[in-house]
Formats: sequence, C-alpha cells, structure tokens
Amino acid sequence: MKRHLPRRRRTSVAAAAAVAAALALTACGGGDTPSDDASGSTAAGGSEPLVISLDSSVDLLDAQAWRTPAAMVATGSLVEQLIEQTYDTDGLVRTGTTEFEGALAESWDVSEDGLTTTFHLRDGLAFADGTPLTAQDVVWSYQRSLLGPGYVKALLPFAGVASPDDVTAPDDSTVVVTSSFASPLLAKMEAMQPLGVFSQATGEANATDDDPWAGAWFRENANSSGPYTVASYDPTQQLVLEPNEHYYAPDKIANTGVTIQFVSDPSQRALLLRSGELDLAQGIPLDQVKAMEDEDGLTVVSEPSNRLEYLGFNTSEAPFDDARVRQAVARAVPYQDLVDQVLYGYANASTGVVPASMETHSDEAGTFEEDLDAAADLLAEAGLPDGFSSTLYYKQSNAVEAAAAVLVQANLKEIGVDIDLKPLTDADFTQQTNARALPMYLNNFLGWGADPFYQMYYLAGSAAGTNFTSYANPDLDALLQEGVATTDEAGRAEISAQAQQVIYDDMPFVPVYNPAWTFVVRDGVSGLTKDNTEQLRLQYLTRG
Amino acid sequence: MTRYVLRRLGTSALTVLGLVLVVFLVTRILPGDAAAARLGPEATPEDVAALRASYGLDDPLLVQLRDYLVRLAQGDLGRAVSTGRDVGTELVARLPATIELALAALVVAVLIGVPVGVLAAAHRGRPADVAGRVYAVLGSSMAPFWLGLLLIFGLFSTWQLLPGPIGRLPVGTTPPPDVTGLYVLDALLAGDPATAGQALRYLVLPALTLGIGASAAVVKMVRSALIATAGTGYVRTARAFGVPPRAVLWRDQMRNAMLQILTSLGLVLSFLLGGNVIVEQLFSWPGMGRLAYDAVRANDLEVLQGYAIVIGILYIALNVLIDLAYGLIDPRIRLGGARA
Repeated sequence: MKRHLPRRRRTSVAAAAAVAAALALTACGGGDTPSDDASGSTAAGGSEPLVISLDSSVDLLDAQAWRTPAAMVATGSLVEQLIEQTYDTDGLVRTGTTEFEGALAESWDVSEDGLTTTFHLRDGLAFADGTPLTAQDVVWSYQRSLLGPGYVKALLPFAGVASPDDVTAPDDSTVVVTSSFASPLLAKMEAMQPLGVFSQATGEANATDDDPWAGAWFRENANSSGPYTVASYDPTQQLVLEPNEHYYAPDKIANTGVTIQFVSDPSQRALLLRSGELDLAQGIPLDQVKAMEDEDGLTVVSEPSNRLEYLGFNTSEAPFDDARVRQAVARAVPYQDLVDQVLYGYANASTGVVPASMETHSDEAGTFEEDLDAAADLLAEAGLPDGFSSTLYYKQSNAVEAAAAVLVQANLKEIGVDIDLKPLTDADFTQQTNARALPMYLNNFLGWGADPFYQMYYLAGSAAGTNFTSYANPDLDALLQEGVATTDEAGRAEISAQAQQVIYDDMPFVPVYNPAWTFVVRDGVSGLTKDNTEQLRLQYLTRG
Repeated sequence: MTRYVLRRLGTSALTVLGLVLVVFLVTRILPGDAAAARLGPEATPEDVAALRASYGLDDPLLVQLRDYLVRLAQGDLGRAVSTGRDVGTELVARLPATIELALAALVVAVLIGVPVGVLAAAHRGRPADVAGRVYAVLGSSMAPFWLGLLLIFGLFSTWQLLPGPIGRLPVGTTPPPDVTGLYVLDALLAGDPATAGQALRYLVLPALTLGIGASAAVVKMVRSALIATAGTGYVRTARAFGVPPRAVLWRDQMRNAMLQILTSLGLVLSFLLGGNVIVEQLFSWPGMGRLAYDAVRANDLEVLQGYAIVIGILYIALNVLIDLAYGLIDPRIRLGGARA
C-alpha cells in the first residue's frame, strides 16, 4: 500500500549502524544528560548538537499559539503530551502509526461507552525548572487550549471535548477527560503538541489581568515538559535547544541538542547544507533537491505526504456556483505534468480529498485525470461553450504554486477559459481567503492527526474556518459528524467513502497533488521522525 | 554656535514630527489587516474584532493619531500585531547588527570609491576616467540582491574563502559580551581576537554587497567634487607657482572638496542604514531590515511604522551631525554667524 517516491539512500546501512550504536550508547548512559557529558559520546559521533534549517523561522515558542511550520516543530519539543504515537522505522525515517503509547501518562483506561478516558501519570514527573508536574498542570493546559491565546481552541471540540469542565484531576496523578461522543480522533489530538503540558505555576506567575494565560511569557520562554529546553532564542536568527535534564525519558533524546538556524533564502539554505554548515534542511527549491540526489555527502529523504495542494473556488459566485463548471476545471488540470515538471517528482498526483496515504481513502469516488474534451463538454453543458475569464490567486512566497498556476492557466486556455494569474503576499492571501473574496486560488492544507473526517470537515464543512470555498452542504456536515463519532473501522470506512463521493461530485475545490515530505540531510543523519501531523520530532534525530 | 545648534535641533524636531505624520498616514492608507492574518482562519470574527480593538485599529483616525503620538512621546512604538512583541525593543535589539553592517559597508564604499574617484578626476577624459565612470554606472545599476548572489557563489560556494550567509557568527559561537552591540568591536573590547576575527569574516560578504553598490555613488561624487575645484583660482594659482599637480590635488583640491564629500558620505551612510532590507534577508543578517521584511510579509504595519520612524530619525540625526561637522572641517564656515 505504501508508495515510495524515488529516492537515494546510499548510506542507509551505515546510517542504520550508526543509529544502533547511538541507541546502544544512550541506553547505557541511563539517566545521564547528554549535554553534561558531551565528550563521552564521541564514539557515536553524535556529540555535537545538530544544526538544521527548516522552511520558515520560529515565530514564537507557545505550543498553542505558533503560526509558522517551524514553530510547530520547535514547540513540539518544548512540551510533552500524555501519550505519544508509536513509530515504524524504515531506513532513515520513522513514521507515526495510529497506535499510541504512554508518554507523561504511564497508562490509561477508556470507559466502556468510550466517553471517559482516565490517564495515570508517571511518578516523579517534573518540568525543566525542577518543579513537579502534576495532573493539575494537565488540566490547566487543556483549559488553556480551549480558553487561552491560541487558535487551537477549535481542536478539542471537534473531538467532543468542548467545555473546560470536561477535563478534571481527581488527584495529583490522575487526569479524566470526558467527551460528548467517542472518537478515534481524540487520542490523535492528545498525542499532538498543542495538548502538551504547560506548567500552571509558571503560567500563573507570569499572568496579568489582560493576559490570564501568560501568552506574552510563553511566546518567548518555556518551562519545558518536553525533550528540550531553550538555551537561546533570537526570532530573527536561531533557536538553540538543549536536552531537558528533567525529561521523563532521557533515552528518547538521541542527540545532544538541536539548533534551528533561520536561513531566510531557500537557495542559501542549499549552499549551507552543501558546505556542511547545516546537517538537515527543508524547503530547498525542488530542482536543487533533484540535483542533490547525485551529490556526494548528501542524502535526499522524501516520503509520501497527506499534505494537499488544492485549487479552490468561490462556490457562491458565478461561474463557480455551478458544479459542472468546477468539474470542468477539474478535468482541465494537468495532474501528472504538475508532478513531473513543477515538483520534479517530489509529489503524488491527486487521489482525492482523502489521499491514498490516509486511512479510509476510497477509490470509488472518482479519479483525477486530465481530459480536455470532457472538460469542454461540461462547460458547454453549463451554458458556457465559449468559456469565461477569471483570476487565479496564489502566495507570492510559494514558488511551486507560482509555477503550477502557469500550467493550470495554459490548460484552461485550451478550453476557452482565460485566467489571469495574481500573486499575493502571505498576509494578504490569508486575509482574502478568510474573507472568501477570491474566485480561484491555489492553497494547501494539512489535516492534523491524519484523520479523514478532520481532513474533509476542515476543507468542506460548512462551519469550518479553513473552508474558504463558501461551500455548505448540510448532508455532508451530518455525514462528517457521524463519521467522526464512529469508532468501528468498517463504519468509518463506509461513511468516509460516502463523504468522499459527495465532495467529488460537488467539487468545491480540486485536489491537485500531495507534495512529498522532503528533507535533504548530510550523509549519516538519520532518525527523521514524521508524526501523524507530519512534524519532525527533533529528539530522534542523530548524526552518525 | 550654540544658537545654531539649538535652531538646527528645533528644525530637526519638526522634521521628525512631519516624518511621523507621513508614516502614520501612509501605513493607515495601505490595505491589509494584520489582525486577521495573525489569528488565522480558525479565529472567530469576535476574536479578530477583539484583537483589532486592543490595537485601537477601529478608532477614528484622529484618535489613533493622538494615541500614537502620546505613546511615541513616551518612547513606545507599539506592539507587533503579528507576534505581539514590543516594536521598540525589537528594533533596538536589531539596531546594532544593522549599524555594524552599514558602517562596514561604508568602509568598503570609501576604500573603493575615494581612490577610484580621485584617479578619475586626476586623469579626466583619459582611460582611467572612463574606467572609473564605467565602474560607477555598473556599480549603481547592479541590484544588491544579484551582486550578493554572485559574491556568495564565488567567494563562499566556489572558492570557500569566506563563510556562508548564515548570520553574524558561526553556529554555536557565543556572541561577545554586549557593550556596543557591534560584534567585532565588542569582541576586541573583551580581549577576544578570535571571535572578532570570526565576526569580521561573517561581515565581509554582506558588507561587500552593500558597499560596492554604495561605492559607485562615492566615485561619482568624489570625481565631480574634485573636478569642480579644478577650475578655481587657488588651483590655478598653485599650479602657476609650479606646485606639482599631485600636491595640488591632495592638499588643495581634496581639502576643499572634503565638505561636499563628507555631506554625500553622510547620505550614503543613511542610505546604507535604510537600504539593506534585501541584503539582510539574503545573508540571514539579524538586523532591522530583516524585521521590516518579515513585517511586510505579515502586513504588520505597527512594525513597518516603527522601522520607518527609527530609520527616519537616524537619517535626520546624521544630517544634523554632518551640518555641525561643517564648522569643524572648514573654518570659513561660521555656524550661526550668518548675520553679515
């Protein structure tokens, strides 16, 4: 089932050996904090902290209020959740599964009706400042996610936990989470960093009347419950992370620290990686990634992703208020050319709103194939035999979307549709999509937790903030709500297939491709860990 | 003199006020709403409205202006909408990096611009002059971004002579203790020549990128200032008395052209301070320009406003200093004595 993209792993054997050596060494090290004993681990070659550069800078350190993708990665290492997912290791990459194991919670029980989960915390948990971590901190963190400064407040309610009273702490080591319906999505969210644990005492000490959840303090600081602490942070330059000596599982930290360097220009990132100043880089222009596959000293790691690039419509205005027009555009998209020419193969052509790599994907809904004749017929059927004109918007900062837009424009011209291309600044794009002001736009979406119902709801649900299409279908909403509250696999698959069919038929947006999860690393770097939300989990990175 | 200084400071204050007004109005006219961008699609309209209200963005323009001036008078440049950080603190924290880069670029511009300009003026109309003028045209028409890419490609990527565009110091190096914020200087003050050397190496590429462009302006200006003095009576007299041309050039022409050169160097420096947004971006240089670049992308008018005001004030302050320096350089100019 798992589809692999072309990639080169010349050093996989050496890397695997290095990982094994590193793991053996850290296991022997027991509770020693790696940073205190950097010289002792030179045998594994992993003693120097890693230096990486991601596709953005870290805008702030609050795991519930970050905005940039790099900040999601960084904050994920400054909080620990109650549970975490298990991983499948394949070469350099560890991929998250839908199975979970305890993290701060040693164990948990779910009530028979599936509505109540009781977590039992480990003994002796502590924050980075040494103060004890108790069930009260967990409750405070969950409440902060619902009421606090972040925008993750939509998360928990979607999985059935809407009220701050739904999370309680009967004693210092027990947390009880009550939901209004049982859903596999809840565990996925509980394993994600926005539900990681913040210190209540630290929060209260830094709260003000205007800022009861200490949003200002947590923007710049952390009292970590996760694998790292912040050694230094300059929002324009770098974030230096050091192992947290109070972390509950020191053996889960496979390196001696990670520095995230904010290199703003993607091409410069490539140069720095080549010169050895970076161990890992993300967001390198894909033509250069392609060239790097043949370069000595570098390894390209590319895995299929659930991230979805889509062509959105404003379904409330002509001509896109007619599903036949939207279907016509969908048949005019050059799916394979986009993958080959714009993404240099680092993508999969569209397989639908629920991608083939996500559970409950259905092949039944319909395929995505370029067919200009069928497109022209559909336009004629919709009463537009001579086509129409419109404007396609995309983000200026996204070179891939800019190139993709040109190919889409050329194909649409073939069926008489004249498209102007218009790039917008990121902020302008966000604002205009929020206002549902754009007739056609390229955008991308990554559903949290790799959950099909989350994916469909947030793209096509009528009340979803991220549904920019103005598409509203009460039947679909009901179907998705039923799906998210269904726990048996067969039932989920069936409801999901029905919903995929509805979305395919109405086509409020065209799923275009799934860009791959791609990094370039120096040879010997391994342990790239992709969780369910496709975030890099830094503590597992090693350098052989 | 004191009277002149006071009057000069008074007019500068008015200029600053004018600057603040223009910047305030321009940023209010520009489209875009950082509050919506900041909160993202999941935010409710109430959240956006609350954030807008907390920044006073819904108040009438005059009320906003009054509040802004009051805050500004207290040294408060506001909070960034996109990150919630204090704009003044952010800008001040980045100022030394920008100043260090601008000063280094000025040194580059002078080291290249003055000799080339003098040479061109001394050999007016001959090949050296033509070469100097060609350099001036090329230097001023080459986009800094492109020049930076060429320099990175040659000096870092191909020949590995200089470090890459990754900021002010190698990753993992602790910055020197903060005195002036200029790393090279601070490291020397702390008696740490190794770090000073590192900081200098990281400074060279961005300084060259900025400085080469600026040197073109210096060439043009030195050349024309010297040529303007060539036709004056004192030069003719000196020549007639048989003073060697070289001595006339350096002793008489240069000293008299100095005033003009100094003025333009001041302008070049203010250009360097404000004009390095792209270069800072390219070299991951953690200065004010980079903050401004991010602010543009985030529609964060609070930050842009603060940036424009700080750069404007620096510009005005530099000009005042240059004016005051006139009296020191050229004793014929009596500042404030314009009563005759």
